[in-house]
Amino acid sequence: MNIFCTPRFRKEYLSLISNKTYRRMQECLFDYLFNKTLSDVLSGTKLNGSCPNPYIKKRLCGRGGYRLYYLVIPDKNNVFLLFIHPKTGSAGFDNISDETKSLLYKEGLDCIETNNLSTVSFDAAKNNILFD
Amino acid sequence: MQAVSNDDIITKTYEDVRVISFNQKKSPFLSELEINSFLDAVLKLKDTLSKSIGCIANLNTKFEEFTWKVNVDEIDEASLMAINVIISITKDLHSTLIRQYVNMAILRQKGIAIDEIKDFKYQIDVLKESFMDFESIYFNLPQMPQFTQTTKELSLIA
Repeated sequence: MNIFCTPRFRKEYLSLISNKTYRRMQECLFDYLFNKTLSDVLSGTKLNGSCPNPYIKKRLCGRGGYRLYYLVIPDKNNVFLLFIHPKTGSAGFDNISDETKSLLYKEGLDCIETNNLSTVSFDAAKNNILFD
Repeated sequence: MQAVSNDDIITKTYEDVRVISFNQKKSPFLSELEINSFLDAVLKLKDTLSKSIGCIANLNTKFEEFTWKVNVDEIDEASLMAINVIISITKDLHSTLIRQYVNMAILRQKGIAIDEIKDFKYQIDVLKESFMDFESIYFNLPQMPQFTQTTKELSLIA
């Protein structure tokens, strides 16, 4: 499974993990994505009807956890991380608006079409997430 | 100011000790039966809460699965109306559960079943998110031209 992310995701992620409150986010994301198959990530809430390339909202790490938004293109074995937000703490919020869901979706498609993406990889020794 | 005599102090202390000693001999904590019945009540409460948590978590999982099986662009008006009813009933269920949670304030203050109550609240919050997501998926997002256009274009990528 190939994992990519948009510039927005990368910026948001790096900003959040620099905050001590959200250090656990790295572990949550690592556990959810590392060494997983495509069928493992085809879960959560599907937002875009019958589209063969699902737009997914996933709850991570239960109580006080995170919400991850991503696209999957199953035929190419590709996952595109679009956005992540905590539910609690100073940078946390309950949900994102429908306008934001739509904006992230469009932005994700634009980034795929223009190849404006970072490759996501994992440092298994440190349970760390790396960007190219 | 009148000085308090040693006798007064001794008498007062004697009275205090006598009353406390007597009362403590009647304390329910000396009765294994009463302690057991208190623990039974706490266990029963935790068990009831755990069952509710499991039930709501199961419903939340079913809502997620629903979004993969029932596609908004493949259903008719009657199905959409049924989904609208599901949302309304879930909102009502959410209100009922919030009232239950509010009534648990006394337990939280006493430190009883804290973890179970936190899990209960988490599942209630996820339930709220579930019906809000349903409103997005089946009613709001399909009305947004940017969203539907993106879906069309994304469908062409293979």
